[in-house]
Amino acid sequence: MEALKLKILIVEDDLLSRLSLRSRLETKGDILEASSAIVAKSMLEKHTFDIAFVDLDLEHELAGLEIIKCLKDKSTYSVVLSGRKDDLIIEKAYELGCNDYLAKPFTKSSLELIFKKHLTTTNKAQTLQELKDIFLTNDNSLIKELEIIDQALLSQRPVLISGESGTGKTFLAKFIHQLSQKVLGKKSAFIHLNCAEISENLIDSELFGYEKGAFTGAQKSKKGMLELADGGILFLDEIATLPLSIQKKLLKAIEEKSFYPLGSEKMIHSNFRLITATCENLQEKISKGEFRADFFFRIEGFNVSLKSLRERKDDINRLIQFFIKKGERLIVFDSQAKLMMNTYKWPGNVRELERTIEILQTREKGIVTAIDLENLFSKPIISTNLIDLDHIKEIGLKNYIENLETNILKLVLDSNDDKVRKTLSDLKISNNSFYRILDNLKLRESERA
Amino acid sequence: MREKSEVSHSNTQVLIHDIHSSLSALQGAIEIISDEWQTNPELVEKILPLTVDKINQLQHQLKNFQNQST
Repeated sequence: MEALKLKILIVEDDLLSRLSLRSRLETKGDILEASSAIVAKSMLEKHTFDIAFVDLDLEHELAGLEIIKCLKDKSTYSVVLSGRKDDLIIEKAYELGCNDYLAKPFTKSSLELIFKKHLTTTNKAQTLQELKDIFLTNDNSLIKELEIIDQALLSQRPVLISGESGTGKTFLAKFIHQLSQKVLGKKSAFIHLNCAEISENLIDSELFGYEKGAFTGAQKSKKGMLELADGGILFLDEIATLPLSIQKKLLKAIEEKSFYPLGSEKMIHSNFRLITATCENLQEKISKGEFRADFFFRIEGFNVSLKSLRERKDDINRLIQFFIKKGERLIVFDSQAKLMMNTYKWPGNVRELERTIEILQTREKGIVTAIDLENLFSKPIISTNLIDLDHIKEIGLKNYIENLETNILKLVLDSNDDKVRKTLSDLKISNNSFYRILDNLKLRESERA
Repeated sequence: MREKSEVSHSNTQVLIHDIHSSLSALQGAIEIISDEWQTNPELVEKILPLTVDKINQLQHQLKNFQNQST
């Protein structure tokens, strides 16, 4: 991935400063130099520039301010480089239209930040459109929420994405990675770990890696995800399920940007950006002592909250059309089915909607009716008017509760794609309870078979 | 008497600004020399004489500043 070559103007009267700046910018694009405001103005009449670096004091004091105005008129991104730090002058420069003001002497990293900011500013409209396309939304509050991504690209601070299951958290994390690569102008790693998918004792070795012989079965060394994410992004999904002991260890690794793999005495340095996602209320978990407050403050930075589908009902029709076109077979909904699609709560959000369309497209009928949907939509687990007292009397309360438990477990396990730890966390049950209910479930299924 | 002191204060301000500019230019040049002397000696060869000129200019500015303050 190659960064775009820019047209750059340097306006600086000091030859040494001009040459130094030029050598710093040469990789960024084609450069023209002007040693005075007059020369700069004549260049601006003949050429257009993407970005201009302007010293304020040229042939006379503050002559650079005149250039700022011309650059603004030509929509060129302008950066003032000056030793002057008076608020009045800085204010004047911004009023005239400069985009950034750097105090001399400036650092290499401040120049890098300018180019990142230039890229995100010029691509802002495109980025927003892409986000709207990815989320297939015209919902203003969701779009506003997503606008923060633009700012997040300029920083290495962590991003915390919250939202119900199926709202597009992983999509967003991948999109941030894609944009980061564009801003950096190079490829970088995207390491994804769903904390709910692996058992507690495996998370440690997955994240931090291990040395050969660190534990029984460690026949060769393995790099951890923290190390693999060096220079890129580490995306930790379902962060709420991360055990407290690992939170503590990870906190240290994030703060120090270094860690020791299991069984190793060699410190590993890794400079990664952390993106985390959760469908749970972390503040609530902190108050219950199930999540570390210090870890929370370390993983939050740019916080994005993704709305559930039932909170942006206006997008449902657009999403239906999109998923129908994505499949090979076109289908239509009769009026009652259309109404049901729009009034259903969609607990599984966009993922559930996509799955529903996929299933409907494989059915024999091309016109979807209300009956087709009734069988597909996930039903509320229990409500008082659904309790069948006669049935309870017939089979006994113990059997009834066991059946209910196994049904609930199956439902949640299915909706969590068989992720055990996520199911444990959702149902707030212990390992023992989980396996007891699972045994009942297996027994029932084998009896049925 | 008061006006004269204001003028002298303003001259000192200009001089300090110039000294700061020279120091900034030198800092930039030193960074380039330190980063590029092995990989881009042609650039460093170009920058070195300008750096020497700038050091002389700075020396002159510092002398003026010393004279003004005494």
